[in-house]
Amino acid sequence: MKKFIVTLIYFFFPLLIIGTIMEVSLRKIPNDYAYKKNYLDKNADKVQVLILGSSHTYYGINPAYIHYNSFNAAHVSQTLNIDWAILKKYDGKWNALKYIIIPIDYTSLFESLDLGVEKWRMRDYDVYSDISITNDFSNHFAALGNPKINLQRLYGFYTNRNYTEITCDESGFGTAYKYKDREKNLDSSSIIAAQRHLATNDNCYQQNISTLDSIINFAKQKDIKLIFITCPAYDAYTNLLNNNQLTHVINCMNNLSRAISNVSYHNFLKDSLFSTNDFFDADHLNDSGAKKFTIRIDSLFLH
Amino acid sequence: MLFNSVSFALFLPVVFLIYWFVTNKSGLLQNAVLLVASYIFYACWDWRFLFLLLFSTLLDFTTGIKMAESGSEAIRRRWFWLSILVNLGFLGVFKYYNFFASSFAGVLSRFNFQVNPFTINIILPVGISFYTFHGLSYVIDIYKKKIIPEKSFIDYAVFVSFFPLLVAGPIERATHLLPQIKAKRTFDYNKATDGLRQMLWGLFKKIVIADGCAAIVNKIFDNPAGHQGSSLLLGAFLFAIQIYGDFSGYSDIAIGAAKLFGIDLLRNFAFPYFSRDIAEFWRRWHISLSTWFRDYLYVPLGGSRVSTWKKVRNTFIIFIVSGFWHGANWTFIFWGLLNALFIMPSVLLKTNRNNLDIVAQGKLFPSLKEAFCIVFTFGLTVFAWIFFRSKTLHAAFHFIEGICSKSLFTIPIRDERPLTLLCFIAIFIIIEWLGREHQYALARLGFTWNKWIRWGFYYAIIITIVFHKGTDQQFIYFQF
Repeated sequence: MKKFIVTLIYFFFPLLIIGTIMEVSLRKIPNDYAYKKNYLDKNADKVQVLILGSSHTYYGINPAYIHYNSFNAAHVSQTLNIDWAILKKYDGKWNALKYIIIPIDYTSLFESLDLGVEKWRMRDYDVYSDISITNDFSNHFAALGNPKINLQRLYGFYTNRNYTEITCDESGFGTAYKYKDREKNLDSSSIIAAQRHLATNDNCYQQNISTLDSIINFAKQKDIKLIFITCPAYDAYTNLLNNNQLTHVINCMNNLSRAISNVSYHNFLKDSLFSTNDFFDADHLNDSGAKKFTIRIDSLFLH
Repeated sequence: MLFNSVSFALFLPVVFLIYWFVTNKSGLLQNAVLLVASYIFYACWDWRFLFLLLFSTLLDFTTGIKMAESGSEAIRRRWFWLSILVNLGFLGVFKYYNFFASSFAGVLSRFNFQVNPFTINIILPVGISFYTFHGLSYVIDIYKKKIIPEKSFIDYAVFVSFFPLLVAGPIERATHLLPQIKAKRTFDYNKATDGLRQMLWGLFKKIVIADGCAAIVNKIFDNPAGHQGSSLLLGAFLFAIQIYGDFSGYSDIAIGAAKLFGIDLLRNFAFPYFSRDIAEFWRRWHISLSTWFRDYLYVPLGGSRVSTWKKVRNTFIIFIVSGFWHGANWTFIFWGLLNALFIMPSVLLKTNRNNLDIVAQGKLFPSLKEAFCIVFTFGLTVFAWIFFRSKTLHAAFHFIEGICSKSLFTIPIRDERPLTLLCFIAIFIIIEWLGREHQYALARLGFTWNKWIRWGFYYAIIITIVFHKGTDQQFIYFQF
């Protein structure tokens, strides 16, 4: 038995050392998740407007154009259960919070990051944001992520001084679209996006409705106004959306806003304010679109 | 808790250390640890079904004792049938009820009787087909007075629920496993390292080969109409590789894990794709199930010591039941039927026991005739797998129709990484071929090499697993 254990230790020792070095090195790479966590750790008590949600708000609402002290805590593919986890994580620290903005888009009620194709992002929340939704123990280790991507990240960070994974500004607003060319063919990308966003089952629906309830009660208890929005999207995309799914979402949110005093809902999906030049792709605003949209959002607040 | 998950990678060493360091003084304590570990392992899937497993275990354990204690043949028979009916009843409800209800409604609708069958929306308890068969073999063996009933509930419960084999076999026999469980195990260095090696090879087969194939196979089988004949053929070929990598990989991990606890499980695969005819294939594929059906169904029906007509009938019965065991779908039944047809010439010509040895034993290459027979047999199995993998019979026939089109002679799907995958499959086949005379491919490979080269080879496999893992897929046989 002793021989077996010693042999095992010898065999696995190099792997363990490599794994530990990778884990420590990966955790040192600054990124959006870590940045937003650190920001909220220090400043949650000063935030007056908190923006949650997915890439639609991450790239679509720029706190720079909001008159209150605002922070954009949204991230790509972030779903309602993670929004709720962020709110809970800093419970007791939201001393100045007046408004929470949450996008309820075409897919919001039908998806959950931990069950979708981008569930690999859960590891980033676990490792860098200290937000754990799933019971998957392996999500606590950065080194157990995609090895090819891990190696690319390590190589990039430790060999290139200009390498960064932070793609947001100080206020958490996503800046990646500033430096990228917009989608060349919005019409064809609309078809792909509309197909991708069609809900294929309603497995997550009940869970999301119950999460919404929790968020609403949370806000009510703290006298925080909750603003639900449906973000603007490109015409060709909105025309391809499944009417049943869309109507269901809109009706659900209208009913909520009518029934609950601290909740309001605003549907900007087909807002005429936005033209082709305001979109990065079928369902995301570009920098100038985000400015327009944020000013519009700002007008909803009582100053 | 999947064998290829981090949770299992933590669970296994913890159980191993407790087993050998804390409870190694007594066989009873060793078994208690195995039982608790097995129930925790099973509860990780769905703790509610633990009660079903416990009930099934208690029933068969009690049945065994009652049958042995009973002086009357009638009472013995009553207990026997109670156990058989309850066990098959559970299988019937959880696995087959919806199939029978909807098939019955389908038949009625052909006669213009529209009925809405009452179907139950319930998930299939993982491993039910496997642990039910464990229990059935135990009860049948006692009834036939081949074995005496087990007196210790813990020992019997470990026999049914030993975690490496709990969810997908190998399907064990009381005569093979119970004596090992009853004896106190002592640590054997060679057996433990052999177990680890077998687990490593199983992980490679599952994660690199099977999961690597899965992405392309799913894409092709989910939308056969959108693919050319050549891609469909590639899809069928890759599925054959996938299901072998998946299930034999699972079996290797299970057998390897059991070896770590000093227990030998039945062999489940013996390089089936190197078979020279279908009869040989079925002696080498899912051996624990094939022999189960042989001993508890084929032989009681008269086996092969009956008239030719009855032999044909028995062969069809065993293959159709085997197909049905895999799942409540006509595709599985048809798959079984097809295999019965494939084996029929050798049954009729009495050539089904022609190839009992290992192909090209002691040689590096097979003869031309052997090579042709291997390729032909593999072709037949690939054809049958199309039915196994398709969602409906209709879809399977369309799939075959697609293969038999002019587009067969085009360049197949150019996916993300089929070339890398095909290279890995080629290496995999070579290693399997080189190791075909042993229990599993890595069993003796590299034994004459220097230790550091051998370890380098194992590291290379680990690195390949880490860097070339396919998309996470559940083990295919968990659904059965």
